[in-house]
Amino acid sequence: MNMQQFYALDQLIKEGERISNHFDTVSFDLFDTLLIRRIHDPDLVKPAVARYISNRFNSRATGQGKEKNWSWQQIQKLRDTFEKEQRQETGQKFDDFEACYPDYMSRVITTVFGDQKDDQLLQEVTGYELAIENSVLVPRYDLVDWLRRLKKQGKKVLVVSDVYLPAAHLERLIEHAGFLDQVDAVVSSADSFLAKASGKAFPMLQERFDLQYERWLHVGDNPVSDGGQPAEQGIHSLVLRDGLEKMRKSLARRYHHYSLGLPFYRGRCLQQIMLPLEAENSPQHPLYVKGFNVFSPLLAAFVQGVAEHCLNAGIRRLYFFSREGWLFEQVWNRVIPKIYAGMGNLPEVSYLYVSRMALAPASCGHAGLDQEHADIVFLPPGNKDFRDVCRVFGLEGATFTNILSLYELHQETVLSPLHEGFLPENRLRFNEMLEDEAFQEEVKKQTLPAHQALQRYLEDQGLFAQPDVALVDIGWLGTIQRFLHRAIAHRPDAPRCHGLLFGATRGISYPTTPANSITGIIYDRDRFDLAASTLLYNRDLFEETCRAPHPTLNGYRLIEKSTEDGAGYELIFRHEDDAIGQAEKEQDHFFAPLQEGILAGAEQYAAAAAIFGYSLSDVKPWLNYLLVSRMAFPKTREIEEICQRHHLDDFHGQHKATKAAAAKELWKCSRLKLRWRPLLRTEFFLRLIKERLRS
Amino acid sequence: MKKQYVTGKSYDLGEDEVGRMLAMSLRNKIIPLGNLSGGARLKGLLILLLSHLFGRIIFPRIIPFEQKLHRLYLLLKRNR
Repeated sequence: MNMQQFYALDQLIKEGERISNHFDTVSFDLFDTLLIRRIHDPDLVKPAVARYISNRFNSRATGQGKEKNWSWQQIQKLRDTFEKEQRQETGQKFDDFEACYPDYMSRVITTVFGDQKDDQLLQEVTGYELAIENSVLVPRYDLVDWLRRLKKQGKKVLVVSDVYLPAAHLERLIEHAGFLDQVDAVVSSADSFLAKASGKAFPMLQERFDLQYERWLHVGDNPVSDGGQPAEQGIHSLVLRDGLEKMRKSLARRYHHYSLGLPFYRGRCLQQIMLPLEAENSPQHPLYVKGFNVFSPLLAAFVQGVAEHCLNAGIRRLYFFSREGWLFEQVWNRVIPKIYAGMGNLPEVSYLYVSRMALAPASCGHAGLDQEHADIVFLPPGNKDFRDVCRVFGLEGATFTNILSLYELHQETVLSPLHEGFLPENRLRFNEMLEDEAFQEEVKKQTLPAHQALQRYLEDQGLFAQPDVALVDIGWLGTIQRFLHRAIAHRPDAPRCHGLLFGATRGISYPTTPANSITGIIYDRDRFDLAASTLLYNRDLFEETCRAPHPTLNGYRLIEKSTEDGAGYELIFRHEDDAIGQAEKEQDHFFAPLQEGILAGAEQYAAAAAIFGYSLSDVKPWLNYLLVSRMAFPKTREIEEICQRHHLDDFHGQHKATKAAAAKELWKCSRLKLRWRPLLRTEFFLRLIKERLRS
Repeated sequence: MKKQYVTGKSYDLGEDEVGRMLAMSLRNKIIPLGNLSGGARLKGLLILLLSHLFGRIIFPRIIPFEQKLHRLYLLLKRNR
């Protein structure tokens, strides 16, 4: 028999090149030969399609007020039954028990949707199935490269596959892989029911393309279908039995197998499927690798948690707060449409330009400045006196001189207990001043334009059009949402605000009401979660990782609504030409590969999560592991590579606190300590346990 | 900074994630690390560690005997 087996791809290509002169036709098997799958079992894509159909049906049924639901398991069972029936049927007429996807899938659709024959829906389902297939298929670079060379030499190149997808569908997969133009014809057993497995496909091809067996070379991975059967016809066949491919699939199978019994492995299994293969796996910046392997699952799972929350609560509008929301929105756009494909009630998303510095003044325009919000100013140790209050709330300090003197205060009176010279009675007098009507009138007068500009901006963004809105931010205290809600609470059309934070540290208690609440998705101090609390080791790192490459918003300016397109407001951004602005730019540039890695990883996360059907709770144990291992027990090299260079926060003042003991942080320890104190990380972790138990 | 691969040579996440998982599992036996939902069982983890570490050497060598090994595996499974 003219069959040769190879256990490494390079050996096969070398032999193929050597003997290629003897042949004028080369046929290739497609799956596991030209294209490899990230998943170990091709059937794993089927449940994703069943979920898509189920989502489509259930969304339509809900819209029409019907109660009947199809679960994805029922649809999967239906597909398996119809496919099996067709295979049995063809088995009676042909040697091969083949099936044709459009035939049995249209039966599934007709059964589920009850319509006569919905070609449009079949096309959409097929489109989704092929998109999922595409996301798990990777062209084998060296083999495709050889295929291109063969084509260049003038050989007839065929792609032959035993699969339920017809040739037209395979062409779409090959087109996505980027070598359809190099192929003369694509042949599938689904069209003729003549497969390679029985050997019947080869005479059919010989007749159809007028081929000579002795001038025909076939390349594949199956010793029977691609080896023995063509060789029996006199076709020279090269069979690849790749040991490394076997290893890769064996690992994927093992992770999947473990994930069925141990929830910890679900996230790990998901990440195994996410891994780039072949030419995709090119050398990258170390931060890109961290973005892909560590931050992308964290952020993708976070937006998945946000979507789950919105779907459960029936929230149809979602806003990502600047500037971290910039990355969240991009991750959302890559992840959510794939995971929740076919679902009609996903929230509409947009990016909202907000910041504490912009919202603080706007929040006082109607309600004035109360003690609760004034106290927030003195949380950061950098803020010290009334000048900081004025800076944060956009007030002119000089206009308050008379009122201050009435309460025996002046602008430099120390009001923060963290600074030297602080007297509690001054703070009491300051609190009394906050209740002074004249003071409140002056505050309202000065902040009213910002307040009105904010209302116009929010109206423009459609915030008041829905009864419930989700407000997504990185964390930590929910101050931005607190200010935002205060600015709109007086309006009768104010929506209920559901704050969804990456981490809710709740350093100060949040004024939770049914109309305004915050929830931490990955970490919430209200739920005891020791592993997730390790993100407290370096919150700035997460902020810098997600931050948009545009300057922070400084405020909302009210302008005339005179022009046609004039919205009546203007967003004022911070200037970037000073030292802090330049430092921020440098930081953005430094973290650009990290963000690139996150977005690349998010694409793969979406495909893997759609295939496995995992929810946030499924992958949470793995996320906890990622957080503990990377935040609490990082390698010294990792800290050096990823630790942010600059972090800007205008809300924090420039004063130096004298009484606040600088908190010791693992991520700020010297390299010497990190490298040579073996129990340093354990010490810090024990300290974290103590703090969490006390709080 | 030296460039790295997202997929390590042993099909691991970057370099030596499985070793890190093992270290964390052992650490978790001494101090509680939080909710890892039972964590990774040691036996499975050791199999994964060996597969990642020595897979590149073992798999290409045993693949010619794949069918025989499969039959042996089925036999052992039936007798278990």
